[in-house]
Amino acid sequence: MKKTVLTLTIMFTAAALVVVFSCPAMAAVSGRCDNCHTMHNSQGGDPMMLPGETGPLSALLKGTCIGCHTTDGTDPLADPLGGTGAEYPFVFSSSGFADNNCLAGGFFTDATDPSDNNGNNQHSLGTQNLPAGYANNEELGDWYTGDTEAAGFSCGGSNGCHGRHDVVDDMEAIKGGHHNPTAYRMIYVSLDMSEGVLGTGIPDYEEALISSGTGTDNHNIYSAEWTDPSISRYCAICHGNFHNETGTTDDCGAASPWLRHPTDVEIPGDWTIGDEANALTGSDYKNNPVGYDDANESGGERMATCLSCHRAHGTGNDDLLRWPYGEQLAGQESGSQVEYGCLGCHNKQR
Amino acid sequence: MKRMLLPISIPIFIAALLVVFSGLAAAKVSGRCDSCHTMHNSQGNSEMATGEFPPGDGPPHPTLLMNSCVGCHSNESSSTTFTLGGCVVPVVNYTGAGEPTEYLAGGNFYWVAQSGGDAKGHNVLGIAGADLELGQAPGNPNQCANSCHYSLATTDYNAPGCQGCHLKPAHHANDHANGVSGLVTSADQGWYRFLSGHMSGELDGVEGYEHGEWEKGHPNLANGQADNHNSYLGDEGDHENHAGFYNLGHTTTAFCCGCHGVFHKEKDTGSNWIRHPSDAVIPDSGEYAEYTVYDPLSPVGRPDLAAGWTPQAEVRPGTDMVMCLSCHRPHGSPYNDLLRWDYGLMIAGGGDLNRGCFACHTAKDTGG
Repeated sequence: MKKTVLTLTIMFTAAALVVVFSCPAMAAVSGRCDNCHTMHNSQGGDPMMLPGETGPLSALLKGTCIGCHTTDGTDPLADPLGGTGAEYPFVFSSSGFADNNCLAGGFFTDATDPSDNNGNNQHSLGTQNLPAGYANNEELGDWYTGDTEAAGFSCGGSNGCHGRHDVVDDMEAIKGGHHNPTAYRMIYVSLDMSEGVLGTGIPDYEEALISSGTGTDNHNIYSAEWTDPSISRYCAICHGNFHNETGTTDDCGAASPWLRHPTDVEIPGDWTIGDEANALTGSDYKNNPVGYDDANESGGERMATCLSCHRAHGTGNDDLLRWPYGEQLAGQESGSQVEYGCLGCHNKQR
Repeated sequence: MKRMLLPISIPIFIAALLVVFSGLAAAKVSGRCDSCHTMHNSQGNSEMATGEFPPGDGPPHPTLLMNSCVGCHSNESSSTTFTLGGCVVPVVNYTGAGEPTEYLAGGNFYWVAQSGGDAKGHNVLGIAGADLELGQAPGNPNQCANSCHYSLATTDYNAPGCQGCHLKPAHHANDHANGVSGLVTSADQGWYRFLSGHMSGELDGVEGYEHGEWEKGHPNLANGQADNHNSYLGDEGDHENHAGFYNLGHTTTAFCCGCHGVFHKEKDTGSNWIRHPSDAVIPDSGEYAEYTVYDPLSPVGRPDLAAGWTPQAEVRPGTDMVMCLSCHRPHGSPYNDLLRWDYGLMIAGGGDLNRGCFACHTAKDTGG
């Protein structure tokens, strides 16, 4: 038997950080290198790609973004190797996720259909339509390439969300992000990686919160405020018409009555959810979460963010909403009033 | 009793008093949020909102609305109400073919929107052009240039259009459920039909009992019913000076006087009536005492309209009052001067009509 001595040149990171997303960084991945990488895409004469994937791929990976973050199971946060690796998040399941069984970012309802707003409930991978509200004269200029790239909208890069936006290739865009994360969820408000979004991620990506709808310490913490690299400012690099750039008021208006739904704006203190004396509930965190200046939850002022209403990857509802818009009924009798979603904040309209 | 024929000395009002918008607004809206609002004015990368609001300004609209006042409260199929996302919406501007045969308490802008229809309604921006004959509200006591006291039909003035009268719309005000009647007496409730004051009247507004269906069915509502009409507040005040909230309380007449206040100088120094009285108690004597069965075509003001009020099927001469709305519809009507009836049919001694002018002047129609 021929003994093969492999010289390991890859240093395992000591102490798997597993999942805890500390601000501003996400958790660095941990576990065996060959869980994700293949040196030559060859073993016993066979390729080493994940099922359905075709290689070789950038960064010596066994799968694409969606390839790795897809499961055929129903657990959105699982250890795919059965105890030999770390749990990691899934954003698509061939068995299907649901609004009460997914992670904070939501889920793709179909990872292959590029038709625009496929069912209107997810960011459609592969679409070549410009993002809704895209404004090429706003903060980052005309940077988006998803409408001209053959691949269309993707996970990262200049035609996607994660990583830097000045390169096209997904892997190049997020390079270093899994092992040495420098921003919340590898998302940046800059074209390069110089300005990461602020936020704190809960270790289980809110899996427990979403499935139970309860709990007050099992949620992410989002950033908000005009001058922050906030989550809303991040969404606005694609959906610029839906968010006032710092120092401007054109898109949403200067104050109430707003022209478009405001984000990065303090919720009035006479609203139930805006009153800091009222403790937020699990339903609030799940259905209409708020943001804070510098993502500092103890800093006080609660603000509306894009994520107060939407989940980024997708949901079971139109427009990537956290809840069905059709259930938001104003003016109902006491005892049958809706108290989440729009009406979770707009309590005077219940 | 033989009724006496008295000479008619009622001046013709050229333009309707800004009477209570009894056919629009109020009652807490209900139903789907997206029936009226669009968060980003975008769906499939297409705009959702239409119309101009405020007039002259296209989408996106303030308060994230899908359309303007006129846009939402116009309809080409119904001249009374329609249902939108579970909410009943009053129609004040019928845009369908032919004249409407039914309308709400406040009337309908259909007629003023027609060519030559200036005298049949308030000329409101988005519905009708500026009045060709009137350069300002008739009886205007407030010489505020470039204001809604001069016209509701241009973009030159502050708060043009509908908000010249409905100053502070509060569709979500917690007054009473959509489709249900209720008393409205405060700013928190949005005031009666969103009618309120500004400047010196900033804290004032109209109080009244709102019929849940805006008196749907005019002009054919039955007499003597308690449940088919609004109830209006009345306050006698004096009749020798201009008027407003400051001396007529939270009445519809006070509101009308904001633009037509000169018409409230109704008595001369000898206490003779020189203009038709408004917010004046219907005498409990002579022909006036005959008006006892409530006619929705000739509403009255109730001085005792307050908490606990229940609608009445009777008129109480000696207590209830004639007011602006007794004769006029604020949005518009088929008749000149926004009257509730055809003035040309008001013929003294012409027969036992008992309606219109003759609802109160009960002896004049038969020549008694």
